[in-house]
Amino acid sequence: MSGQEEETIVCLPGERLCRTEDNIVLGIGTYEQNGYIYASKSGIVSIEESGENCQVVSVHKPGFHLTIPATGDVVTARVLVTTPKFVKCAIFCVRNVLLESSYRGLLRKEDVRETEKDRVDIYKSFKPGDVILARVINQLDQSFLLSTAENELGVVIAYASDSRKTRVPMVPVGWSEMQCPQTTIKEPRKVAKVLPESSINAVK
Amino acid sequence: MLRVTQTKNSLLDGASIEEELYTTPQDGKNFFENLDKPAKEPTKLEPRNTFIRAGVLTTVRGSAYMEYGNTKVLAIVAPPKELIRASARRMNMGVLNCYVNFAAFATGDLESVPERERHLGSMLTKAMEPVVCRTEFLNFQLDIRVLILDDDGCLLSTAINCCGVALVECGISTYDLITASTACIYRDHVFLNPSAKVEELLLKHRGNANISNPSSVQEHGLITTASMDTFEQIAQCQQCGYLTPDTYVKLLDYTLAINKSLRQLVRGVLTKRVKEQHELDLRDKAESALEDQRLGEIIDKLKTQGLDEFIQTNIKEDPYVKRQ
Repeated sequence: MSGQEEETIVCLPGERLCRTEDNIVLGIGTYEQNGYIYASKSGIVSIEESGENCQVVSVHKPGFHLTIPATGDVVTARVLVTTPKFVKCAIFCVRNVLLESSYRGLLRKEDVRETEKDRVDIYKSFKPGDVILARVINQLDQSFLLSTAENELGVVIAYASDSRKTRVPMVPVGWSEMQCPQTTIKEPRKVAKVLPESSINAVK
Repeated sequence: MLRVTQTKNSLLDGASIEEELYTTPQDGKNFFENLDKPAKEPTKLEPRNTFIRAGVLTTVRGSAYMEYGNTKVLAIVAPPKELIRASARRMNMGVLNCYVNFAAFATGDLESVPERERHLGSMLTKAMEPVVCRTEFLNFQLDIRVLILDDDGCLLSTAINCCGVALVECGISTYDLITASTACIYRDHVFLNPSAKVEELLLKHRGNANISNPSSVQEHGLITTASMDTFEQIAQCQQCGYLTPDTYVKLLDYTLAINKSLRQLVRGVLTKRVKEQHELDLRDKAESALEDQRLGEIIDKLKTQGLDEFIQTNIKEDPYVKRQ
């Protein structure tokens, strides 16, 4: 199917898109019923090839998307409370979508770091007010379970505890420390290795 | 004209009109005579003049406004909120809440408003629950708010139609489009999409029904049906009054036929909306591409200029650092 044709297929919820077959995968905005794939959102139908004769059928709604963090998504959150066992945070951004209302996130001590999990000290990893990148690993009853056990995940923006008023963010110096450029105070953090956007796209 | 106060039958989602039109059965009969009646069997099964528009409010993401004849309804869908444990029912589905509010000027009968709001809200919730893919937002609650601006009968069905459009506009997954309509029967006359006056008349008739002599009771009743046509499912069927099974089936068929034609209308509105939004999206994309190109050019220029120079010029220009 050519790109131009795909643009023009508009569908509404409840519209039958195609038959379910082994090589067709349900994408977002669709559901399966009685051997057929139906649209569950209004939008534009797109069929993408995804290797080995597999096709992903999905519906993309133009304009506003309703976003809810899903398992596996990278989210941006603000640390609210730190306790010896876990960190409570408020998720305010999913992937690159800013949320309208923040959702609760929970980061357990075991999920802070990939290695030496038993020696993690929450107080040496996060402080309230830090902005962190994390991955959603599960959805609990009350909140989303987060994990920062990856090099690219962890604290992105942090302020030194004594220089709140100046609001100069600290600069990472190594994987477990950040330094305030004004007072040169060093504080321990679980620092994220933030990659430039260009290199992420290259990996994909 | 005589005036009495009357408590509203909450089951009947009937509209109320400011002045009481009649008090005795005789008055009712006279009023009925004056009313322009449709033929005993309706010939044309079609909705009233309808106006629907999705995305009327800019502050809320999912909103819709609908005029169904003189009935005017506004619906908004708020983004899903997290459930708090105490209020959460333990089940593996999201929770849907509908709230209905009357505008102060929508109805003359202010006393019964809170009760009617509650009943309409619960009936609306029941109607909307089958449509929404509630498995997609576990542990979340979705609030739908409906504001009734003007009330001329068919309130529940109009509210359902309007909510259906608002849900789709908000981008919440739904299994199907939902449409609803109302029909009623009174003194052998079938009224499709009854107006406030007819619903009031029906309500009065219920009040005056002669219980001691059941054989004299005439067929009278009101039926509201919400349907999803893809799988030919009925989302909700609300009925009150006294109907024989045959009449019931007949009225049900009428409402389903009206639902079908309403569905075409809703489809048209939503398709247009999607196309509109798609064009806006394309325009946005083109604009951001231009912006990217501009920034790219600047970066390229700076690269040739040299990094040190670039940093120096930037720091000097930064007003925050200047202050130091």
